[in-house]
Amino acid sequence: MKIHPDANEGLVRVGGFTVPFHDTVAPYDARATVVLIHGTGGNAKTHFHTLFPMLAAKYRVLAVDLQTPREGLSLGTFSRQVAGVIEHCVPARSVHVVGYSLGALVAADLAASNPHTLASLTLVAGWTKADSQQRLRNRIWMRLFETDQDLLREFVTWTAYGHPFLAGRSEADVRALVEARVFPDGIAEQMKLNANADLCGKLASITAPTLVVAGAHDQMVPTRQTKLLFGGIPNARYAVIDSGHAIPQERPAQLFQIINEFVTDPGSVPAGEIRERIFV
Amino acid sequence: MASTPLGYPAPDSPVDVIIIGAGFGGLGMGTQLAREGKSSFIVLERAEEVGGTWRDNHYPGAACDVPSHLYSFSFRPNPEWSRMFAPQEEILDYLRHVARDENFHERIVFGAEVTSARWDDAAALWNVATPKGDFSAKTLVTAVGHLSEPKLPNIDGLSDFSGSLFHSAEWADEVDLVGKRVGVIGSGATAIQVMPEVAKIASEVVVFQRSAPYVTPRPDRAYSDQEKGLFRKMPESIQELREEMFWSNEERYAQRRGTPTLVSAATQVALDHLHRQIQDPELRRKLTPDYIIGCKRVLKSNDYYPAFVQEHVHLETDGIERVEGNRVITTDGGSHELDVIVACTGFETTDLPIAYRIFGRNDLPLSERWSNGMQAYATTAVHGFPNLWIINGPNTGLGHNSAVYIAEAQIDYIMAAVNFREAADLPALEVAEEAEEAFMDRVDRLAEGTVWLEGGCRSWYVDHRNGRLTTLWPEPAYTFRQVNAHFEPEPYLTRSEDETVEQVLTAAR
Repeated sequence: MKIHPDANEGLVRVGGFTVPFHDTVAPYDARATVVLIHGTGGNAKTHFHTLFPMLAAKYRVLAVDLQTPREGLSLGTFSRQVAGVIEHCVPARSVHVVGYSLGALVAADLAASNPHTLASLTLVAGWTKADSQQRLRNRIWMRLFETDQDLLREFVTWTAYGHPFLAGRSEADVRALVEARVFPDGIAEQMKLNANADLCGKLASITAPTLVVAGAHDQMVPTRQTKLLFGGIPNARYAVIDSGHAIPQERPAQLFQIINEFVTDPGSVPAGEIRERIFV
Repeated sequence: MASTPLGYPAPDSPVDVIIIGAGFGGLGMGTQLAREGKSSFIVLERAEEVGGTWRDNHYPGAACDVPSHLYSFSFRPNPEWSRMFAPQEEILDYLRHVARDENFHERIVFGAEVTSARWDDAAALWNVATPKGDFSAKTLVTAVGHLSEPKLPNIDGLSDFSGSLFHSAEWADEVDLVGKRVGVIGSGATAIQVMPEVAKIASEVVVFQRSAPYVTPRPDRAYSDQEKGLFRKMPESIQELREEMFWSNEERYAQRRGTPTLVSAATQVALDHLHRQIQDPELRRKLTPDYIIGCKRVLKSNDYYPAFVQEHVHLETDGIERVEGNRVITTDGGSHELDVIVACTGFETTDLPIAYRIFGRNDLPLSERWSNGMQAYATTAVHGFPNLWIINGPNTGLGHNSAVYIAEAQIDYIMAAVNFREAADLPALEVAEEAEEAFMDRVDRLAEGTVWLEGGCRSWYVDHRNGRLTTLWPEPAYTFRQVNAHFEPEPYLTRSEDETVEQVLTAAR
C-alpha cells in the first residue's frame, strides 16, 4: 500500500545509488514542498506513516528512502542522495526540509552544503556529535546486534520510546512494539555513522531558518544534544514535545502542528525563540 | 475560588447576558463571566438540575468515551477522577460543583424552558419567554448542546407498543427490567453501554441493529491513590496527561482524511477486537461493519461483544417492519415478543429544536434562516441575529476529540465579543452575511475528501438536506481553537444612528 493515495513512487540514480522517493506532485500543484528524511533503520513508510498524510493535506510532500552502502557511509553519502532527489523532483525551487533522528543530521549537512535549496530546515531529535552517554548506548546496541537480536529488540524499544508512552501501554502493547522491530540491511553501518558523525564545524554555516524539535523524554538523543543544535545554528528556534525519541510515532499530530506552523511562515518567529506549546 | 456569591440581578430589569442551558457549555460560559466579575447574567435551565446531557443520560452503564482528564474544563482540573473514563454520575457531580464553587448557582433559573427568544431591534434586547417568567438581556448565549433532543425512530405502531417504551435519554427508572424481555433499538454509542448492563438482569435481550458499529478496546482503568495524590500536589501532572490524551486523539484525525494505510490500521484494531471476543462466524459476520471506519462514531467497549455470547442475548439485523401489541415484527416476517423497548436511537442533531424558538431581526426564526442546513460565522454568530452567540452549534462536533475543548474555545470567543461590544459601547454586534458565507465556503473546502462525506455511510454528521458536513469540525481539533477562539471585530456590522444604513464596524469606530 502506498504511503498516501496521492504519492507517486519513483526512483532516481544518484552517484551509484538508486534512490526511491514518494512524491505527492500533481499537475498545477503550486503548494510549497516539504521534504522528509527518515532516521536509522527506517524508511519513509515506517517513520512517517502518520506525518506524511497529515502534511499532504496542506503541502506537496516528498519523502526519500535513503540507500546505505556496504562501507564508507558518511553524512555526505545521504545528503547527496537527498539533494539528487530534490533536484530531480523539484528542480530550481526551494523546499522545506524536515529530518528526523539521523535524518536530521543529513538535513543539517544538506543545509550547510546547499544553502540556496532550503526555504527552511526542521531538525527533529537530532544531535551535533555523539557524546559519551550516546556512545555507550551505541556500543550496547552493537554488542547485542552481534550476539542477541531478540534482546536488542527489547533494548531498542526501551530506548526508542519515552517512559510515559511505554508506561501508559499494556504489556501486550509493549510486546507488540518489541516484536515489530526489524533490523534492515545497512542498519549497522548507520549505527556507526550515528557514533561518528560530527556536525560541529558546519552548524554556523547553516543560514536557512531552522526549527529544532526535541523529545523531552528522549533517551537516545537527550535534550542536552538538541539544545546544542539550537545553540550552534544561528537562525534557530526550539520546540519541545513530551515524547521519547520516537516523536513521529508517539506524537505525530503535535509534530505536524509544530512543523506546519513553522513552515507556513518560517521567518515569523524570531531566531533564538523557544516555542510555547499550544493551549490544550 | 471567590467565596462571596455574585448576588441575584434585579428582577424585571434586563441583564447583560442570558445563557440558555446549564450543561458543559452554559456552565463554562457562566464560570468565565463570573470570574471576570461580570455579575449581570442568568442561566435559564429547562430541568431542575444542572448537567445537560450528563443529567439526562443516566441510563445503566452511561459513561464518557473521551478520557475524563481531557473531558473537563482546562480551567477546572479535577484530580479526583476515579477512572480514566469516569461514569456519568461522577461527571454530573463535577458539573454540579462547577456551578456551586464558581458562585453562580443562584443565577440559574430552573424549570425555565425557553419557549421563545425574540430580538427587539429598537431596544437592542433579547426578550426571552419561559414558564418561570420573561427575561431580557443585551446578549443571548445558547448552549443547549447537540445531544439534547431525543429522537425516536419512525416505526409503524411503535407508539402503541403494549409494553414499556422509553428513550435512553429519558430512562424510566420506575420500570424494573429484572426478568423482563427487553428490546434495544440501535447499536450506537448509547446502545453499546446500555445493552451489557441490561443483559445482567433481563431474561432476554434483543438488539435491533441497522448497521454494525466499529468497536475498539476501551483502555479504561482506575486511578490509584498515588496518582490522585500526585494530581493534587502537582497539578501540572494533570496538564501533561491532558496533553498526552489530546494529541493521541488528534492522531486519529489523520485516519479521517481517508489515508488508506491509516484507515486499514484502524480497521484492523477494531476487527481484531471483534475476532478476539466473538468466535461464532455468523455472529462475527453480522457484527462486521460495511462502511469505512470513522464515518460514524468509533465506539469503545470491552463488554459489548462478550454480552452477545450469552444465551439470552440476540442480535437482530433484519429491519423492523412494525410493532403490534407486544411484538416487534421484522422485515423478513420474524417477530420478537417483548416487555420493554429501549430506544437508543440518538438525538436530533442537524435540525436543532431551539432554532424554532429563536427569532432574529424582522422576527425571522433561526430555523428558517437554517432551513437549508445550519451555518454560523466562526461556528457561533449568525447574520440577522444580533448579539446571539451559539455554543455547540454548527460545525462544533468532533469525530475524534473532546467536545469540552471546543466549547472552551467558543466561550473565549464570546467573552471577547461581549467585552468588545461593551468597551466600544455598541448596541449590537451582527456578523455580515458575506463573512458568514465566506466562512462556510472555507469549512466546505476543509471537509472535502474527509471520510464523513465520502465514507459511504449514513451518519448524524452530515445534513441530508444539503449534503454538507454541518455538525462536525472537519479539521484537527487544535485548529478549531486557532480559527474560532479569537474575536476580531472586522466581520461585524453595526447600525448607524439613523438605523437604516449598515456600516462595517471598523469604519464606524
